[in-house]
Amino acid sequence: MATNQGANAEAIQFHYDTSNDFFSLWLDDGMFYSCARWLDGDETLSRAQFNKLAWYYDRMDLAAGSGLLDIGCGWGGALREAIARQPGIDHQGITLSKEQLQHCQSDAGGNLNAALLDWCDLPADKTYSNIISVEAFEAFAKPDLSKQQRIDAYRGFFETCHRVLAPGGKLGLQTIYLETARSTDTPEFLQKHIFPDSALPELSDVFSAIEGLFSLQDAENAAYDYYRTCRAWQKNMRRRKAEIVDRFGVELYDRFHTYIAMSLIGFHQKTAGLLRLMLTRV
Amino acid sequence: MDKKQIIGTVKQELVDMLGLKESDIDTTKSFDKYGIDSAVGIGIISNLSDTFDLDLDPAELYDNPTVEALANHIHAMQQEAGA
Repeated sequence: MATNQGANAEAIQFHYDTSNDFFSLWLDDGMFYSCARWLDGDETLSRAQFNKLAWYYDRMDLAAGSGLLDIGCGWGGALREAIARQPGIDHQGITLSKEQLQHCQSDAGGNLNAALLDWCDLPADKTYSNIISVEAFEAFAKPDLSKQQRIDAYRGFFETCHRVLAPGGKLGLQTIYLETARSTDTPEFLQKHIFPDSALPELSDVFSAIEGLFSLQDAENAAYDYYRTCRAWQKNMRRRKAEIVDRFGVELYDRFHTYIAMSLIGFHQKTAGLLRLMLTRV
Repeated sequence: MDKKQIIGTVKQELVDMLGLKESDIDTTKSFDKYGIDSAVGIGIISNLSDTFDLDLDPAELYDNPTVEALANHIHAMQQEAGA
């Protein structure tokens, strides 16, 4: 049985349990904390986030009776959109964040089926037709792992997805990856103060880890989309700076503003990329 | 604010952030020659955004990588905002 070689619950909660109210002040209404998909120059961040989900769901069959598992479900936005597309869909979200879980299970969050669960602890007796996992993958390997250890860690994840997917099932995966940068280039600030025990994969890690388990249906690199998403978040933060500082303190504002700006620069300078993958279970 | 004043303000920001003397700053020299990393660049852009009451993009430091180029960009943004 695979084990998670990346961030544990404590490390995830360090970041994601900062405060739901804090994140709501600069994310979009749907609380999507991941790269959006921009189709033109005028759409809102919220619209662009739904474009992202459409990229995945248009490539899956969400027909009634098929199940959907969201690994790293955040505040539940992807599951709510799936339910809007296919009312009554058998769905399950898992997260390691208590704050996110609380929101998912609340009336405001849509009373979703969600659990505080690591992907490696998914029960073996339940299968799904589709899995979506949007930017959780970045937390599945610690920074001190060798390349082969990273590939093995990611393979454990893909083996688990393979186990809980029905034959021919789809896995929609979104992850940041290292483009020109290497894992040793990651600023200490990000590892220490933003995402402890997390490291970005290299592109070859991902493709090595899926061999024999999944076939590639579709893929795109959307680094520019992430630059635009970070820019939108940064604008929101600056616009509401006074309120954020007043409620949460200047240290938290500076920490998140700097990390979002660093990320924005990384995508602009192509040191990092954004991988959207649609995989079919072999 | 005219372009000359904007150049002076951007230079002063580099003096404050990097501890340089104003006479050390060549307005046509690339920022990376001063050892500006992304964290310092973000601070500079953030402070200039506040000073000029503009919403500058941190990536603009890379698209306009000298004092003169950045000052030209800020000047153009001010003209646009005032138009």
